Amino acid sequence: MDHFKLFIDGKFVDASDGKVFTTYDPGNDEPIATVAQAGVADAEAAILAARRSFESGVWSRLTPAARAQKMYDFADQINTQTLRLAVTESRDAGQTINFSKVTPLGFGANMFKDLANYASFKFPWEEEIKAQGNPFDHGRDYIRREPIGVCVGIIPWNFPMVMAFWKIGQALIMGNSVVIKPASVTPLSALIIAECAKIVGIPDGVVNVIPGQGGELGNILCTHKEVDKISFTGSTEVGRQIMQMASGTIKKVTLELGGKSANIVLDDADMEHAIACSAFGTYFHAGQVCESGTRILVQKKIYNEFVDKFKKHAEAIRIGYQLLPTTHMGPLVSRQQVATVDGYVQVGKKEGAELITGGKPVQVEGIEGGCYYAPTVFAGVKNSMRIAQEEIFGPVVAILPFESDEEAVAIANDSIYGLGGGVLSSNTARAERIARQVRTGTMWINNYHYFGSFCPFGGYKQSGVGRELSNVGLEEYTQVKRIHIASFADASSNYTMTATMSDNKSLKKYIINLPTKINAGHGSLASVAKEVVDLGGSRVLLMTDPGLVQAGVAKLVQDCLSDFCVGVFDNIPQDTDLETVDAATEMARKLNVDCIVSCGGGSVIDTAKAVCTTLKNGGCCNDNISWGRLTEPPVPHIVIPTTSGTGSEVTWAAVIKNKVAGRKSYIIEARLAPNVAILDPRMTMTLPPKMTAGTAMDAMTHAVEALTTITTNPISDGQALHAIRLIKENLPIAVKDGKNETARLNLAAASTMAGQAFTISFVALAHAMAHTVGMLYSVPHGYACGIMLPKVMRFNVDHATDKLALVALQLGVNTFGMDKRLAALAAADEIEKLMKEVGHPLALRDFGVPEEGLEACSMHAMQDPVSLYNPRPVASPLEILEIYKQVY
Amino acid sequence: MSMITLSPSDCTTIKSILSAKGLPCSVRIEIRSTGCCDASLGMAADTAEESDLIEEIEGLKIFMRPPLYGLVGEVSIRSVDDSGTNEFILVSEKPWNEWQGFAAGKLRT
Repeated sequence: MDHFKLFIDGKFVDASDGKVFTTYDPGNDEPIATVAQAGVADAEAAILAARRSFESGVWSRLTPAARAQKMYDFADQINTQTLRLAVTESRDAGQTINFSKVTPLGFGANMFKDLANYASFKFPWEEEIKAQGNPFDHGRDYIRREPIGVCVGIIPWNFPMVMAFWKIGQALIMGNSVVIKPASVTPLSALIIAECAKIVGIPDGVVNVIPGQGGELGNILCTHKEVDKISFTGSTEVGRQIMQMASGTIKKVTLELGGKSANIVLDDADMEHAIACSAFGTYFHAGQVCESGTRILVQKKIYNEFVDKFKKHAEAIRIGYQLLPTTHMGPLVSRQQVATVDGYVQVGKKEGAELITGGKPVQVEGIEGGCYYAPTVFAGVKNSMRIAQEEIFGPVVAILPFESDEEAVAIANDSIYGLGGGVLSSNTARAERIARQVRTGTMWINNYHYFGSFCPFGGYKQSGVGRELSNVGLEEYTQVKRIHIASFADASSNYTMTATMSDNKSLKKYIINLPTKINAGHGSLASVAKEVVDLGGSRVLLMTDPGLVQAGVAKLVQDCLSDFCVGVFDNIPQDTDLETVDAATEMARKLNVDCIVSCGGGSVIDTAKAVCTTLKNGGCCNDNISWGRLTEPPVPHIVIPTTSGTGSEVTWAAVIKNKVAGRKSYIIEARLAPNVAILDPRMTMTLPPKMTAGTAMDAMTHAVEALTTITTNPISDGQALHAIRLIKENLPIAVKDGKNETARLNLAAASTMAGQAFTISFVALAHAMAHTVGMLYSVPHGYACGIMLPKVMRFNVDHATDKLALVALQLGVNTFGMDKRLAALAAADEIEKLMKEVGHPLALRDFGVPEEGLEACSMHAMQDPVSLYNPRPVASPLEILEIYKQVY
Repeated sequence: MSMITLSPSDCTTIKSILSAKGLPCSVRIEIRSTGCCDASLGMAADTAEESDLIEEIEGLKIFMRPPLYGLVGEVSIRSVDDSGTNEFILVSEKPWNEWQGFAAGKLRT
């Protein structure tokens, strides 16, 4: 009789205490081999050998491609030993030779090659994170997947060879070292696989196999500090214990546990196929399969016919010795399992189920002994019965009737398990509808027990945690590491560090990313068609508003676009919202638009920006409210502003009203900046004086706030300061004479520069407060900004004194000999003076804002993210309330 | 013949579980399948049948089918003190499965 030894650290050794046990052929009760029985000391040695090999890097630090080459050799050696493996497995575990002879190739060698090749060429070992999802800071981030370490594989007796392939193969392919504990009644195939590993030169300690009693070894394997992961296939009861033990050292655990799967036979199923497939689903390997379809749910219309035919089919199954190729069904694994199965049959009878065939151990002719049990069928089963709820793990099936598809799903889901299942039907769509509703890890349609290297396997509910096989299974054998490299090796590159741990809140870093091409000057509108061509467009949607259509401005653009314009969307309100964006996107999709031209003020431009990103990325506008998420450019966008204030023609931002949330949502993405801005002064000439003033004060607020935020810098300072000067000098002229092209062009330039400045340096509290009253009380944005600005400047005077003093200079204040603080305050006074001169409103009450609403406004403004950039930290909503009261 | 080992305190625990549910003071030692990791022994509230082997300990009847006794021999029953979940560990005289004494089960009521 053969003797098998433990495989530890690349050597076959006897157990340290010399213990040996015998393994038996369940088909005839004959002893097959003696096997060294591992004890705690052997388990310790195996774990430490695995740890040493892992830490040495002899396997773990090979490239996936180098490991793959070794795994191919390993696979070829398995193929070489196919016959030995097959016969040994059949004798040890009772599998029929017709199955075990294909196992080494199908479930071993092929899987090794498939997954090793995948790990070598396709597995994402390292992945760049193109968009970090951190709106404040910059850097490179990437994901690196690394082997976990020492993985313990505890494998069951029903498919000892397949399970050893799975546990060893996946762990090794991903760079780990393993300790395998086969079931003690079926230890042989795992030891032959270890022999294959040794022959092909898998480094010592990478594979260790220690047969022995789970009760003795389980504790050390699941609690040892040098074990990093446990992959267990077995019962839910033991899985629960393993999870508890592994929790002591927080090991990663994957569990593939029990099942009581439902195989649903619909009334439109091909009857002959349904019978054969259901019988295979139940009686394959004598029902000792965790995902077996041991609850057959049959639609009432065909129930009686099905039961009759299934009984005949079950009775025709040929039971025999497992090595005979004529055998359909071999023995159970052990006498204990026969007793278990028979115990459940007695329970079923006692519960009132109708035993229609089988239900007893059988003797095979010509064989003395053996663990054979007749294919057993229970009809009239209720799902609450134990034989329908508990995993029998033998050739016993419960057939249950159901009326409707919904009832079938309900019965299927009425189980603590969720491992496998099936639907038999001639209507694939109907079968898929059912399959999607059953809470289980695998559903086969018109098939059963179908596995593949790239098909994940695992359970819902108490059937397990994690998956085996496929890319999902491989992931389970890796750790995920994120590596971050700051773009600025400086404390100011981390907003949180600066905001929380530093008294100086200003961020010294800055990034200039202003990709918008600007065509400015009289007649520049004519360039629009050429820009469309340069951007690769041919089907343009023109977006504008009803006022501009009525004034004939939109028509000018349409004429310049000529045949490129395939549609006009003009239903854009003053403050755009999600619904408007969605309507425009729908129109753009219907027209197969590949370029957007927007002509209008901030609301039109922001709507167009949101359409561009939604068109590119799919879904609706609300799906595309993002801050630093985009990794690809949106649909090309050309902007023709008709106001001089928002700066939106060059900014990264779009502000969209969310009526349900009662807030304005921001899309802030560098890639959202329009491709081209056309500043043609003729396009702003129809703007009435009051709106000219309001929009210009929006630009003024951009400039002053960009100059004073915590992220300010010399480049944006230059743009902001010149924008302030241009507005101060040209706004009164444009208000008096709207047709003055020079003043209009200068205001357009100021607006664009202020837009560029705040794109780099952001805006602050005046904007937070303006956004709030705009959202809650529809105060036009430009007016709201203007009203807030002087008061917020005074609020910030001690935190931005120098910058505000510079503002005073740009506004023409004679600051000679003046204290800087006084100069800063004088800047605020000068802005109020300018506002009065151009007829700009000065109080919120003029817009119907109720005084009692100010408190709520202060709460909203406090939560507006731009308030974070204010030079003076905003400590409380009460401070904001005080400013609101001042401007009321 | 001694078929069951059960401490007085664990006996009291079982009786109080049964009593709380208004069940007769009798339990069956049974086989409980746990799938591909072997079956295990379990304990369920039940009434004895004529053919059962019965042992009575301090008013608690404990019984099992004769073939099962033949397979497992004497059974010791121990309450899992720290679980608070009415779980018991059943260990058989003859090896029953490799997880013997490792897995625990609830008293089925």
